[in-house]
Amino acid sequence: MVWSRRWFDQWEWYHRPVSPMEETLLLPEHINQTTNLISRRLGIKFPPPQETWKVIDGYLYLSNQYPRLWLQSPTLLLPFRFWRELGQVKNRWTDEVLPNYQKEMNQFKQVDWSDLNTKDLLDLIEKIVKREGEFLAEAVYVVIYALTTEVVLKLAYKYWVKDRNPLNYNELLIGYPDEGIKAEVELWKIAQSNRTNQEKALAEWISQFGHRIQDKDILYPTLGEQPQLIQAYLKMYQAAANPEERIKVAVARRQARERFVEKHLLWFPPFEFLFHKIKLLAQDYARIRNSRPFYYQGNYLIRQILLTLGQQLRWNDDQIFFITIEELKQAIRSGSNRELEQKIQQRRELYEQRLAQVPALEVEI
Amino acid sequence: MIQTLMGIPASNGVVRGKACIVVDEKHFKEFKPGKILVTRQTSPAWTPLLGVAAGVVTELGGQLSHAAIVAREYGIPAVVGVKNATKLIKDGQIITIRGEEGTIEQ
Repeated sequence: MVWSRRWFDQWEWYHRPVSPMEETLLLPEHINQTTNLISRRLGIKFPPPQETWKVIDGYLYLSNQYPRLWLQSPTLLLPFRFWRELGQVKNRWTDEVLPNYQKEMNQFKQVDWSDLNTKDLLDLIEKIVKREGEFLAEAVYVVIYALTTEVVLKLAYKYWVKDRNPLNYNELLIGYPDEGIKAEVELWKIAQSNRTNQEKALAEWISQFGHRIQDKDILYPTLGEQPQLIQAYLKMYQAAANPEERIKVAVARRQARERFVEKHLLWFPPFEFLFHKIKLLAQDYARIRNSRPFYYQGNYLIRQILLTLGQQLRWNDDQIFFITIEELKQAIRSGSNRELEQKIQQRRELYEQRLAQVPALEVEI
Repeated sequence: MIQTLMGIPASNGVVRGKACIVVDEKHFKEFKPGKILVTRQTSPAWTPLLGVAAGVVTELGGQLSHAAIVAREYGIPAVVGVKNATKLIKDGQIITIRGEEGTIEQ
């Protein structure tokens, strides 16, 4: 069987080796939830996990057999199912998925960990992992629609708009407010303020935006856990223009591109109608897509609980992320972590070696 | 002699300026606004750098990658998928990015 990393350069996650805790605690649940959701909504059946994904030499690979997904009978109904969902997905995301997720995350945040024993902490982690998996599955589902609508817009622009550069379609998708822009603008304002006001303002900024994940792997600290990184951003912003000005320029560019389309769209009423429909859908989904890193809040909570458990086992820093969830449970049951210390050290060294390597694009096993 | 590197056009525009090679987040503080960011690949942590960069070159990624999407949002030229960019381009070197053509001139 051939395993591939062919599409990974398009994503922002899993460029680096996968930590043992990520591989055993989160990946199985999250990939499972995602494939189950896609199966339920679109009817596509996925192979079992052992034929879908694998960690090889520390890196996540996916089966290269994905074209087979198109060779099943439910694929015949896929266009209808996809079309049926097209208008619902974004509304479901904003009206149900996000509010419900936020409500549950707020409940998790209110739990007082000091009252919980290790068994309860482990149960809490597993509940958050499961909930995060459900949310991630919905996020991936939305991105499928975001990508599809963008690709359809790209094709519609290429064939129906007289433009020397068909890539200019991109300008129809820029200039919308998203969580990333909001975070940048607020940080820029803090960078301009005097030092006496900065500390309090920065603490508030971290409480609002600090849970942003820098990478999907639980090993990696969230934004708020990296004060040196935030200081580097602040220093950059002291000499930079207000990001709000950049957004105004992006809005002006989008509006100019829309005027261009009005003048250069091939005259044929069905094209005009269809193009506008496609454009509006792609614009709605582009807004959702760009905010996603700020929506995942579970990583921060899971990290804090794992680090708490690590401290109870007298481990430093991020050592706990270099063991599997089963090893953690065993260490808690036995009350002993000595035999794991050497393993952690070896795995960390191996991780660093692998980090310096470029993983093979395809591996046959 | 001008050497030209080829990649995938990611964001339109032309910019000429000093390249700044940044390989990971630990070196973010070395990046100065107005320089051309040259790196392996970006992620959300890199977004503020893209906000102050004059242009972007990445080794990995396609037209729907993070660097491409953010560069277009910020209106800066970008070329992605330039193999070995962080090795072929020297830190401080003057380069010209042509986003529409997907080329980098050294």
